[in-house]
Parts: sequence; C-alpha cells; structure tokens
Amino acid sequence: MGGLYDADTGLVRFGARDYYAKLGRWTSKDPILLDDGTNVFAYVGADHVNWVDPEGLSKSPSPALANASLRGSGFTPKQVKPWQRPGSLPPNKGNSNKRFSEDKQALVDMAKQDQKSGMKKKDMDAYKELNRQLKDPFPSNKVRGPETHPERPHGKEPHGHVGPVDHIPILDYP
Amino acid sequence: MHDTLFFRYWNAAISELDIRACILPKIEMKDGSMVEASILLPQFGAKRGMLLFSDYEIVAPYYIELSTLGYGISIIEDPLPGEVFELSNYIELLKDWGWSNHGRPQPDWLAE
Repeated sequence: MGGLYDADTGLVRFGARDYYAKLGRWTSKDPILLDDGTNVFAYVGADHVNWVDPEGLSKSPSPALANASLRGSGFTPKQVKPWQRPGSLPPNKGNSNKRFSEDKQALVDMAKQDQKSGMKKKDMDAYKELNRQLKDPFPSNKVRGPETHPERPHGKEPHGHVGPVDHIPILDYP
Repeated sequence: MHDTLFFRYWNAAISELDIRACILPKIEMKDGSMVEASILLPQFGAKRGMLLFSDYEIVAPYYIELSTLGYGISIIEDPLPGEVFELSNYIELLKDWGWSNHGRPQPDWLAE
C-alpha cells in the first residue's frame, strides 16, 4: 500500500478510502469502516501498513498513521471503536467474504459499509465507474442498479448490487 | 443496436433458459410519451415483469409510474470490454428478481 498522506487532497488515505478520494465521493463519508461488523481481518489484511490489530480484538492506527496529518477527513483515531467478529453482516447470495484482488476487495468493503447505511444514486454510479476501472472487474450485471423487483420482499425498495454485496439500499431514488 | 454485447448476451441467456422476453418494448405513459426499455422479462420480478434499461436517464422521469403500473426496473450497463458470457450470472440475477408468472410453474433451474 502506498504512502499515508496525500498532499494533494489533504487526506490520510487508507484502503478503500483511497478510491473514494479519487472520485471525490467519499470525503464526507463517515470513515469508520469497521464499526459495524465488517470483516476486519480482511480489512486489516488488506491494509496492514496503516492498521494494526495487536490483540485481535480491536484495530488501531499504526504509529505512522496516528502521527500523520488528518486534515479534511474528519477522521480521528478516537472514532475507531471495537469491531465485532465476522459473521454479523446481513446475508448475501454471493460470498461477500471471499477475498479478491486488493482493489476489488476495497470496492467490496465499501459496498458492505453502504449496505448498512444506505447510499445515494450517485454512489451507485461511482461503483459502476470504479468497477470499470478494475483490472479484473465484476461482470456488469453484478454491479447493477438502481433496481426494484417487488415480487421479492427484499426487492420492493430501490437498491443496488456490487459484486457479492446485494441489496444496498438507495435512499434518494427515484 | 441489437448487435451490442448487452443484447447478444441476454439473447443467449434467454435462449438457454427458455424464458420469455420482449426486446425494445415501448410503454406508453400517462402524458402520452413512450418509454423504450432494452428488454422486458415478463415472467420475473414484478406483476408485469422486469424492465431492463442501460441508461438511468431514460427511466428516471417515469420510475414511479412504471412501478405503479406493475413493472420492476433494473439499470444494467453493457458488458464490459472482454467480459465473458456466463450463464450462471444470469441465473443468479433472475433468482434474485424472482418468478412472477404465477400461472405457470417456475423452471427447475430457478428452484435449484
């Protein structure tokens, strides 16, 4: 993983957030990526330069990250709360715990977070754009939406799909 | 237009799975305008089936009306360059939408 501080954006960049910064889409997003049961082993594994998990109970910024400037991101290490063990995520038809390439996994991790909090229509567009930029993208019909399909209870409300992460609520659609 | 990867792949899936489909269906809205979807899959997703659009802008003004009329809607972009057709992806997608042709039994592959 690259450097910790991006002088152009003023953000500390780590893991999935790097992608958001490129599109200018995630800069206002709550940066607590793992406060909801996301597979932290996976996350830390993807960004072990910036995060450490010395006891296997909570992730902490590495000393380098803690000392870096956090201007503009709204992020402080204090916001990191104890993470929950894997297994508390809502069920997906696909295997959302499968590990992908680093870039692809970052996309999946972002989608998992949005599955909890919901997203906007423009975020769905961003996911499609990000997927197009991957070296090994998901098929186009696995990054789709907005969609509704009232035949199924889970399909009544507008939502999107991003790879193995299904039914991400779209809050501002139509 | 029919020669795009989107249509070629969907035609392959429709043929392989032996499901009904209408290509480039036009639906009249209350204001008299016609909305053209890429594909209608009348047996899936909603009472009148799933309308597939490749471009959100086409459907956005009519989303609520189309939903009220009994259509499901999905925005699916063209396959990406180099994307390989995989029938399993289409089956997964159709399972997610669900069988809506309640007058007829659903195909076996949908129940598996």
